[in-house]
Amino acid sequence: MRAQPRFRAIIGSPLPPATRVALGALGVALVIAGYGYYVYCHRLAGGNPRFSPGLGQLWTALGELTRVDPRTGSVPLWTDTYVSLWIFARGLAVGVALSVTLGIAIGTFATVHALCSPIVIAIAKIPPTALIALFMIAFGVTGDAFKIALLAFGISPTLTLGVAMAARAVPRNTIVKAYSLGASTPAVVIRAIIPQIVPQIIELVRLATCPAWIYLIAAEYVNASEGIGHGIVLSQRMVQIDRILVYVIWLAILGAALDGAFHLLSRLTAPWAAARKDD
Amino acid sequence: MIASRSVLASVLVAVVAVACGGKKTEGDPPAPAGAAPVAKPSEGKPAAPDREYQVGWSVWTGWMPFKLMEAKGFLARRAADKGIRVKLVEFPAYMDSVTAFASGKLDACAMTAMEALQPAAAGIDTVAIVVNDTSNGGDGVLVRGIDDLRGLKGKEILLAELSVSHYLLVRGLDSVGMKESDVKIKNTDGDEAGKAFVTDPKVLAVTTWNPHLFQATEGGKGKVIFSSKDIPGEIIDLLVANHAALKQAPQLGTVLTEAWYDAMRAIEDPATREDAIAIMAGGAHASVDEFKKMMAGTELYTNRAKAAAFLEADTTRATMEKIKRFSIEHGLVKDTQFTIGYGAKATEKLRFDASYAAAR
Repeated sequence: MRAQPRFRAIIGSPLPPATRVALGALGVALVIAGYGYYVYCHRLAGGNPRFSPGLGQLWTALGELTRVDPRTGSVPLWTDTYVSLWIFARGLAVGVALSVTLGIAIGTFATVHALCSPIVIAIAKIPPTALIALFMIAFGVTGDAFKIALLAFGISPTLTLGVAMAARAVPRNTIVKAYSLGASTPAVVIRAIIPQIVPQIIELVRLATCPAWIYLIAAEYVNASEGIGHGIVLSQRMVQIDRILVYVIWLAILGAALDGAFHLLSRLTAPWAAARKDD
Repeated sequence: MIASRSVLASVLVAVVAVACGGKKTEGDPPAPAGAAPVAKPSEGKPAAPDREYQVGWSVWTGWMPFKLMEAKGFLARRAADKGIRVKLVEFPAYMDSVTAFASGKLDACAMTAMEALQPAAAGIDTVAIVVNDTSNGGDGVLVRGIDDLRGLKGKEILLAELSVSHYLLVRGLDSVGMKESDVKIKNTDGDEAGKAFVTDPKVLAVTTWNPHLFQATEGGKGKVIFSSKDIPGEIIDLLVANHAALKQAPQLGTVLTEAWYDAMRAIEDPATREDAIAIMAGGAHASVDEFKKMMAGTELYTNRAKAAAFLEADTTRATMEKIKRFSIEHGLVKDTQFTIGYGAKATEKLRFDASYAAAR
């Protein structure tokens, strides 16, 4: 019947954009439907609607959170977002600077590797939230320092190990070639190794943003006058599940946007990396 | 295109198959033999009254008698007498116990009169059956380098927002004609605030409780410029019960109240007092000396008649109006028409019922 050869869908075959978007939307719809079903069951069992807010309640809560609070004179959601993002950016910057430097050193030099690798591996196993009390003592609770430190410390060990692994995976050929072309050791690191691992570093930082949020929210739980974690704590104290959900959804949106930004950054700084994936 | 369509089709087929599968089993008669042994044990059991009633509490000086009730078997004995099962659940984080009670997961819970408004505002019929204690210097505003409340102007102060610590500060500021916006409040758990004050000299002011208050003042690290002693009887700790549980098992309120006063007698009786204090100190992770100091800042209502009178007293009603106003102003209670009831016949969502404490 058919003249055309038949194509089979195999693992890795790309989807047309329209299908991809449709499936993505379906995923979102499934989660909303799942929540709707939970609300329905909860209400059916005679549950208090306060603990299973429907979309209407969430909308009202969003309205409350985006109106000026007469007590503080500011809009809670925007102030909280701004404060949290500012701490997040600084913590991430400190953590990334530390881990990229150390990671490249570990991945490049055998002596640094021997010196640092065991202790970094051990530190990476410590849950940073267990150290909150210590961080408060060391960095004080009056400023943002302890939150930034917690965030930076939280992401650094794993990030360092990831960067080191990427640096170690740079083909020996490349390094030998660079040396034979007359490059000095610093030049090999800066011109041969680092440019090769930039896309991996961006990818690792992107993955590190997930735990970074956890540490930020944990720190804001402990001590804050603004911030998303603080907003969630207060909503909890007022038993306002609807507000908590608004904050949580907002966190998801912020996180997804950040993820997109990192993908974009990766494509802009190392377009060749995206092409390499299809090899 | 063909490839993608076939993938999509297979997904859809799978979804439909799962959906149909689900429906089919629902309609099926229960499988015989070994397939459904789960149904058997629950058969023929009167589900409602024969359950364990759960009572939440958390570590606080005035609530340590709950530890005593458990350790000395007072609760178990009283519950066995009345033929019900009651279990105490200790919460490491106080607010979690309030949330659990507010969502109906606990039948009774120890909380301050201020937090008791919240489950009530959330629709739980909340009945205060026992007054545990009132804070009498056990909560306070602790400062360094500041002389009095007026000196707080423009300063950062660490405290647990929307808690009794917050209320205490606002009452203090009120007493010298200051407003809350005159200070900068930074939300910090009261215990953390107390520790931060001791470890970080940059922290100038906190609102916290004992043992942090006497530890800091004895160590010469700070002084208390306003405390619950200045607003006697306003920071009230209560045992509240869910009215639905009291209705289902009328003996629950009696069991809890009687077991509480068993513990009070053990504390009052010179023969058992030291032992009782040692048990409570152990539960609070404090030394016996420390715990005695903590008790000094807490007025425990060991006298049953006095406790019963307190629950429905005019002064208590006036205090509750203040606490209610604070809660409405701070968004803790949204309903500005919220009312509190007193007496066994009251029907308000939050009510104080002295009949359990009064009955002998």
